[in-house]
Amino acid sequence: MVIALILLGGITLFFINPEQVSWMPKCYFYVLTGWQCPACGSQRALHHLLHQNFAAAFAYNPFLLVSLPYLFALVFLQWFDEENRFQKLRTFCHGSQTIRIYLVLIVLWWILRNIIPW
Amino acid sequence: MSKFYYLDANNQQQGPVEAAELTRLGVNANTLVWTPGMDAWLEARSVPELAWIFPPAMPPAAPPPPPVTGTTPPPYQAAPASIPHFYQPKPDNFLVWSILATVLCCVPSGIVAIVYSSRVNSLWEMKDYAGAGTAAKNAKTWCFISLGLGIIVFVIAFITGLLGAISQ
Repeated sequence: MVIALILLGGITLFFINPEQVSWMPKCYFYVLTGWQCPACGSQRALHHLLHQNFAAAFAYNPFLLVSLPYLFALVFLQWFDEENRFQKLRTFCHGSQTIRIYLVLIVLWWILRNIIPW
Repeated sequence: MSKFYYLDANNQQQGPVEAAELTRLGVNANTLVWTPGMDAWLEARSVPELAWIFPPAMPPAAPPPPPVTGTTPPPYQAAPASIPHFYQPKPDNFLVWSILATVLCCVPSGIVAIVYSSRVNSLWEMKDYAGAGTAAKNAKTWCFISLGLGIIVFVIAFITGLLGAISQ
């Protein structure tokens, strides 16, 4: 189920360029406020990432550089490591310190990207 | 079978002894015992490993005896007011869901969910088990709000996009 969803999302983003179709979901925070949210540009960035176009991906949302590995680790721990073989990784990813740092980074990035147009 | 330390009638630490020997040595369901792996001294009836000797019951707990000095076991500390966490597994902190919700562009509600997720772990580390449970519930609620909002907005955007395409 989880694998299917990840594959579905990946395939969709591989074949469809979010810049060229109007029906791909838009960030409602951006639509409502005109401000970019921390995740704005993720779809476009992922699309380029799947085409190994790293520079374009970085240009759309550099924060994915932080978010993606972390999210991958969390998804892996949640659904692919039921036997808890990666105890150390789990302790690190779920440690309150790690989450706090991630929160600070995401809020900083949120403010910064709206001050300095990215 | 692990060996158990226990407090005798004078609150002196005794043991370690085999679990099966405990009753012969005068240990009853209210006696405080400790074995490696336990965070604190507990009444014998509250210890799952001893449930076969002392069936668990739930009368009001006896007042805890004074602290014990010992070599191996930790000093006895008054148990927190909530149920000792020996009993309950750590609540799921919904961290994956909060970050997924945030990254799928449902901020700022996703951020609220991450805040609660982080509090689950920090409260748990501070042994505030009731607080950790509440934070877990809040994290779950905010994840649902975020994901729900995201899906509603996605559906609305999809329909308006489709209508726009048809009308052209």
